[in-house]
Amino acid sequence: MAVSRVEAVDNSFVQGVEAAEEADLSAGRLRAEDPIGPRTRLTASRAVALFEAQVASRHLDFEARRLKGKGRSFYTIGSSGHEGNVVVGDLLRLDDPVFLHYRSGALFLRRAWRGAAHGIPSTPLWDVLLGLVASSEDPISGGRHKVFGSRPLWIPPQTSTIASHLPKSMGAAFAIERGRHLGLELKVPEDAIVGCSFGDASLGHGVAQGALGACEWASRQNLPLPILFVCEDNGLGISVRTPRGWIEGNVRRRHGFTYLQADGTSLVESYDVVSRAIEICRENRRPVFCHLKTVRLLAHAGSDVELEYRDREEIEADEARDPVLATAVLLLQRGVLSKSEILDLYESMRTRIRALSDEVVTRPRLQTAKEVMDPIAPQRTEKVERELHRTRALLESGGGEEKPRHMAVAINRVLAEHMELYPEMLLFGEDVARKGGVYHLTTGLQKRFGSGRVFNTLLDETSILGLAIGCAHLGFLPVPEIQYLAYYHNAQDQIRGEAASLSFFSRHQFTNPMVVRVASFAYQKGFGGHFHNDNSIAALTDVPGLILAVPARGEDAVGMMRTLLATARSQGRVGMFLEPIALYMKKDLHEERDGGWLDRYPDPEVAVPLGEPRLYREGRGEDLSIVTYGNGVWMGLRVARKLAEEGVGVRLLDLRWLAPLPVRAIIQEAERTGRVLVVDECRRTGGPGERIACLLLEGLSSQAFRFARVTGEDSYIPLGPAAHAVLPSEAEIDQAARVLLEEGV
Amino acid sequence: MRRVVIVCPGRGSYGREELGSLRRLEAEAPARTTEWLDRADRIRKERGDSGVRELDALESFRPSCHLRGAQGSGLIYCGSWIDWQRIDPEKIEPVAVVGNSLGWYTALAVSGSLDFDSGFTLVDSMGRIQDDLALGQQLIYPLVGENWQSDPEREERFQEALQLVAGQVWESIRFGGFSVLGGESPGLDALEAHLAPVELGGRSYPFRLAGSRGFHTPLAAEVSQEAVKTLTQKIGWSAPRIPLIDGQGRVWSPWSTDPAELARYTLERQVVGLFDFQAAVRGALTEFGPEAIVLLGPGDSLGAAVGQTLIRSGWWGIQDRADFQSRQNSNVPVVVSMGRSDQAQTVLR
Repeated sequence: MAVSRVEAVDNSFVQGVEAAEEADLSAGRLRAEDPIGPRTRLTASRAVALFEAQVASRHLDFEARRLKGKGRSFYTIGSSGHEGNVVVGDLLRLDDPVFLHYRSGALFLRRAWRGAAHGIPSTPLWDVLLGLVASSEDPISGGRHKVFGSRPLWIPPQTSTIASHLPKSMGAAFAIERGRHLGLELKVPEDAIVGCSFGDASLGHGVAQGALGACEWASRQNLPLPILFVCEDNGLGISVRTPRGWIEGNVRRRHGFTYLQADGTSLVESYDVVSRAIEICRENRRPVFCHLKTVRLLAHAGSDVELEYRDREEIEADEARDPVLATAVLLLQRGVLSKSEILDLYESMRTRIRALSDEVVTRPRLQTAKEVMDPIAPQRTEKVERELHRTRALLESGGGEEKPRHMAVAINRVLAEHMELYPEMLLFGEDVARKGGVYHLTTGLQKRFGSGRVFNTLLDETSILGLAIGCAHLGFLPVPEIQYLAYYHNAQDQIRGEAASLSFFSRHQFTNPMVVRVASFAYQKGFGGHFHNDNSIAALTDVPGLILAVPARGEDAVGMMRTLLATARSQGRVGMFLEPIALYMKKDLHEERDGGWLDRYPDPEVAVPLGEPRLYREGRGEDLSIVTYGNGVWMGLRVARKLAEEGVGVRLLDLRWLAPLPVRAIIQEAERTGRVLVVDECRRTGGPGERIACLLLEGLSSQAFRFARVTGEDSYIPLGPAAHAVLPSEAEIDQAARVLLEEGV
Repeated sequence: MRRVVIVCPGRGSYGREELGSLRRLEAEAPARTTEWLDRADRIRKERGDSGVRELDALESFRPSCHLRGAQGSGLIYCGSWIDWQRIDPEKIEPVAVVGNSLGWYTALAVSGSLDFDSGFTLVDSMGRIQDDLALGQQLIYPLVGENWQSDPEREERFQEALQLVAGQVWESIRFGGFSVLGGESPGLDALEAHLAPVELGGRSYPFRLAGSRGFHTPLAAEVSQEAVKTLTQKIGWSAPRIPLIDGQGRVWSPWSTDPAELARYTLERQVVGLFDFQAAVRGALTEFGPEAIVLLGPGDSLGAAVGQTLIRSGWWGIQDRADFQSRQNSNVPVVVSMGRSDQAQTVLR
């Protein structure tokens, strides 16, 4: 094709305007406040304002391509053909949170320009350009992403995982209603609704289907969910066509959903349908699915050569349905603007954006790793301290002797403690309500705090985590439960790609604080097989900013949970609390009935600082360090006692925190004893033991210490006693310790 | 042809130095001046007031006269308008118009939303209504240092001080690196007690602006009510021909502006709410990407505020006062002040 599609679309617009029918303006124009048509509320001046946003979005798309051609821009996925979404940007309130599709450019511009009339000065052309050139001055992500987002305009930035924002949108909608029900003041008004836009191909994604399913599940329980889904349907996902009727069929049948369809190339039809959709959603507090039929212009992105998979005729047919041209024709036919006015508007927007673009390429970019990484998980320890101080003052002291209890009781109690402290805290997951959780960790909590705050969810971890993310955006402090570590993996993107990265991609302007509890690890005495004994946390350990806590005993569980919640509340951080199932009910340590693993409930001032390990000592002297966590602590202490009886001095370091890992303490162990035995209940490949070895190598000369690892095998966990064949045993730990002790230092 | 933003000054821009300026302009460029002064004089004389020529020709500058809304507003408007007429349309292309406070009324006229007569009637009437009904005073305080860069510590303490007088004192104008506050005496006294004194550019801050009232704060509520009652119908409002940016940083386009909404903003929100001149100038830069900023007279009172706004955004690579001055001294100054003949030459017919 000799002419680029950019030129073709650009020229088509101008030619289309020139060729169109024009009303006789000398006979009188429509006034600003007149409706633009017989049965619509859309006024003439409003229609022109929407047109301006559409035109601006179009020229930004052209400019992104031009900049890319000069090597200055890094993103060319545009909104061309989708400009009908401008009406959503006009009709939602500025405090209706919206989670946007990457083609929602016109929507974003219109919403931003409305903001200025409501005390939110907005410069969206400049901001989008800053994003295109990845400038550190880009207000939403500081150059870390090209994304439609804005703190004051309630547009949390989305990642690129296509449908991954649907669960959290559902969560946010849930939060609005739950907040109202509980009488809590959240960050948006009680009658807010949540907007969520995405493409037709995105709807095929499992995460999207799961979110729709969860909404339907909620609807069948009569749970209100004021969510407006906007599907901008251009019929394609890059080169893959969406089957005809699929979107409609998928949604119409869903209980509780209102399905509305509009021609997204007709401004009036879109305006009226979206108006109605929003009214219905705001009034009924039920999901509304607005199916906007759009076209895709300029291919998927600048690098996509459409002719490889589409006929020229088809491409040109879509171009003929250009929504921006359609709006121009509407304005001409209804006597709102003249041809020369429209072309003036079009050309002056082009010139404006070009001038801004020439300026934007001079703006600074991120340079250093430190600059880039700053917003991942900013941590101000003094703020956590202050929060702990504040809350402990509200807690009553233990008051005298209390019976020591096992860890499950301690966790149950610390959860209750914080449900009291934080009215905005929620506990939810599979079976956590009346059943109290499959291990009874949440026993009695629904009764005590009500079903508004302690409730069951459907069987879908993506929905559980999405619910947490959405609620957290609006001011709740969610503590979701994942029933087993194995079940976390199917939903990990909600943490890995979404929750943990929100602060990074929004320069800490948005956060979603939460503590995710996960029943984890193995050693359940043959019960349950692999999926109840999963010992792999590799998927968690390289998520920047994510806190990983592994309590081995009751008093640590309490101290660590206090810190986790205070950190979430005061720093907006995301923490995971990996609870070793096999230690939930553990009572004894060295002998039956010795009660060695029972703890008194810690006094209010006890909190375990982030990253602080716990040291145990057995015997006199410092001959061996066992570095471990979770089940390794219990087993390691038993081995240590036996060695101590033989005169060996053992230091056992319970890491407690796998992220941030207590690096200093680990290195100090090697310095002190010269013999480090890592007991790592996870797999040899990918378990924390690997990291510890590297840290020691980096921190010390390799001559200075001896190192050994006892780990799980690179295996799945079989059912029954055979599980022990692939997991570290006390015998192995003992054997490895003795080998190390034999070696000189 | 340079793409430029036109900026219209506000109260205080017609000062001692400007006395007689209209007469001088008329002598220099009658074709650009006479018609407009005739119109202004006619409108005022019809009401039984002295014309603008008469006020401009007084032997000495009288603050009680020239700085009062009823007299001063019209002088400022005329001075700005005549400068606008003197500009060569072959030399610059105006891409947006901005005004500071009272300068908003001038901006309405310069942008074509109001014709000259309507604009003059508006600014003149508002001046009188404000004299009659506006309460309080204004206080000015710098939030930048000698280098015109933000002083975050001072900004923080300023915000704390403002909190202490919440409900009594309001931010009235964000004027570049300066904050102009509006309140009644007791509130302003209380605020002053909490503001650390600052020396900047040879002046001591904070100080009260002479002849000022609590403009752009709730203290002007009755002004707004009276203005809406008497002026909404009297003035013919239309969409601007050149885009306008208001005291909220909002753009009013030639195509989509609803004149009734513009009128409402002008007579209501603009009168009783913060006028964020900084956001307006920043909006002009980031929405239109101009090559330069042209400051209409009278006087030359906006240069510092505009410079400080440029510095705050690091616009055109200008990071501090030294950068700004060096750009201004170069062959291509970025801010062209009609009040300085050397700069004005570059844009005059």
